[in-house]
Amino acid sequence: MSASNIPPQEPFNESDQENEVNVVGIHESILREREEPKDGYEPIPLWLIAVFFALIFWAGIYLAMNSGGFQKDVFNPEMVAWAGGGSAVAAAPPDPKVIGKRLYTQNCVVCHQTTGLGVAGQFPPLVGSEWVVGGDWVGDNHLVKILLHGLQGAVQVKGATYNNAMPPWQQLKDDQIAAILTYIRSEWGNAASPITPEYVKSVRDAAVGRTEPWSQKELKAIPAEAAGASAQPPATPAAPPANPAA
Amino acid sequence: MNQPSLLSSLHPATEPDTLDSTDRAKIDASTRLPVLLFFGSAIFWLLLGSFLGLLSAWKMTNPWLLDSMGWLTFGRLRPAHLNAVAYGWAAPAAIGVGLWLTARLCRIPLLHSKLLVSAAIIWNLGILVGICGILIGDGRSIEWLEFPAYSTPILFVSYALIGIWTIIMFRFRKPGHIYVSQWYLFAAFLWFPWLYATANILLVWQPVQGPAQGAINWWYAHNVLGLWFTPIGLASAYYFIPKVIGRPIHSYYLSILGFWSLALFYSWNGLHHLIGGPFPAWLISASVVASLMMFIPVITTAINHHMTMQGHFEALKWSPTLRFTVFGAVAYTVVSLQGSSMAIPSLNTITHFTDYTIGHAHLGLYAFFTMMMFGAMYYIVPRLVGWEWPSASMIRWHFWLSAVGIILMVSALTLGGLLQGLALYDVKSTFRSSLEFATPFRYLRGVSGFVLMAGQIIFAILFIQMLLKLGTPKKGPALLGKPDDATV
Repeated sequence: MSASNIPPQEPFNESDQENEVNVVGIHESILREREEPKDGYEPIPLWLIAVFFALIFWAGIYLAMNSGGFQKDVFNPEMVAWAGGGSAVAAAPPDPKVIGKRLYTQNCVVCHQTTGLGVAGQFPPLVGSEWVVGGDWVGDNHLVKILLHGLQGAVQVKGATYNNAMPPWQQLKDDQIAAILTYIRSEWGNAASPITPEYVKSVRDAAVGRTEPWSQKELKAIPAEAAGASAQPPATPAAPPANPAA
Repeated sequence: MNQPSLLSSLHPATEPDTLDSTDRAKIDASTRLPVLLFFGSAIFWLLLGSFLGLLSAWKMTNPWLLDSMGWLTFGRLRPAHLNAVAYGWAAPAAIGVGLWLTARLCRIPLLHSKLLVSAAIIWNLGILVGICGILIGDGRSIEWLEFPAYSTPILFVSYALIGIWTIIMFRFRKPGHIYVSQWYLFAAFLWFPWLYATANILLVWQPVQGPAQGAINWWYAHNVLGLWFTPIGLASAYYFIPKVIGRPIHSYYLSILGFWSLALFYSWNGLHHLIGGPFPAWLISASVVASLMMFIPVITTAINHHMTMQGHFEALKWSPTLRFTVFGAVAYTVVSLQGSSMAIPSLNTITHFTDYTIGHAHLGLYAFFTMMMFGAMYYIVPRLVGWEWPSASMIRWHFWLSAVGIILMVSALTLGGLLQGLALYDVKSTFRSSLEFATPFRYLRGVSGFVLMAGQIIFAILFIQMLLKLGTPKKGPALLGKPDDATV
């Protein structure tokens, strides 16, 4: 580590060097340096390997439990649980009407409007509609069927005839359909009972495999179920259904 | 070359790979111009970038500060600060240290230094254009990629030159054992262009749609830290700790484990910034797992460095290089473990969107990386300019101002961030009250910025004195105490 270690000065071959070195002037900092770093060869401690294997084991379990089956459309299954850890409010079940309103805004307002009044002559209203809150022959099962598979052909709503196509919404989940229906049955002065996801599921299961939309004629042939709204009069002071009963 | 015996393959250090002082002098002289160019410009951008950061910090508490000038509004200052310190200071400092280390570790003088001088000039041009672009309002709303689209190609050209140079150096290195620092350097010099090009192509030139942008953004932003700054910081620690204390690194096997586990796990980490976001569950979970797997490289590296230092902690009293480097190495362990813990979803829901994250970022880029670079510069610069550091007491001031400043800043942001996060999480308290919790800590952070800048100004003065060889020639190194064996 002292200057005596330096070999006698001799000129470098500078032909391929852009920078020349004046050996006499080698700076003291370079002379006093220790040699270039080397590796030692101590083994990896066994306990460390054990800790790492424990970590990897945990990683496998965590991934298996939180990967949503590696599906591209499964989002954060844990999120509800995390939110529930901190506050009672987040842990409470969400209000179906709030969710229903959001889904209605996303999917339904284009035709039925935020007012639920539809567009005269084109899209039937939901406010006070016998199709929504129940009429003399229309039950909840008809409403769920329409939402699941759509409706085509001429229909009579509150005495007016509409001829347009209601698209099917069976891609929505049971609880989403239940939320939308619960919302439209309780909004704008409508006051019919909520629809449960279980009920939607039962209707969906009964018509499994169906792809074509319903028509008014076809629906009329199916009696309203006991749980249906036939017993519930429309809550709004809307005109009574002018549709001649079947 | 003869086939190595099985024993020498298992213990590669049995191969002779020494450098004598004339070799070292030749190598150092060859690196002088490019390395000093990168260092000098880095220090300039450090001062400017810190000033921009200081202004942004004070705007958090005094929003009316300079509010009449559009180009000094928070929305421009803050990205200008980030990009000036990340691409103006940290990257050139990393490149400078990387060039010097590469030449030393390849055991050949720097080849094609003109390539690097051009790269340094082009790089700084790119930074200048980019910072001005952000300040005049052309910045992009992509975190860590705020530079306007017209400045990034300039940076990429500069970087391509450096990448090509790295491969040339590696190819023409003297045969022999490849020391751990060089693995990190070589990898980092190739990882960065991959990250930068991918992010720019997928976010700027041919932007992907929807949430995938966020995923790529955070993949990039986190990997800049983990696959570019971290490996160069670690390469520096792996070189200077054994170099200064003069004993081999503890374990080659730990080095291997640490390097490959970093390479394997780090690239998955970025998505933990998007916990709770609109991303497939598996993507987030994979990132959470990879973030916690970072325990492996971090603990491994920490043990390796600690065991090397074991019995030589006395040297911290006198060697500036070692003091900064060990501070950086300890900060690396702390910041990495903190980072892993921040990926745990239940903790992330509290710390996300608060100052806690800002504290974490500064712990990484300042307490770890910047301190590491200071330490390396204290070692490298005297060998390049042939002049000793003029004042040990100024180095001491630089160290303590930096250390106290960054500890103050990180503590303030961490504590303030936690209170802020808990208030945000509390459904009964308003958003405003969450800010009120953070405000006193933000004042403290503003103060810590002054402390850090004071340290930087001292360092800049020292650096200029070195370049101009000011003061009386000193015999022997500038040491912070009385060593038994001075080899700094």
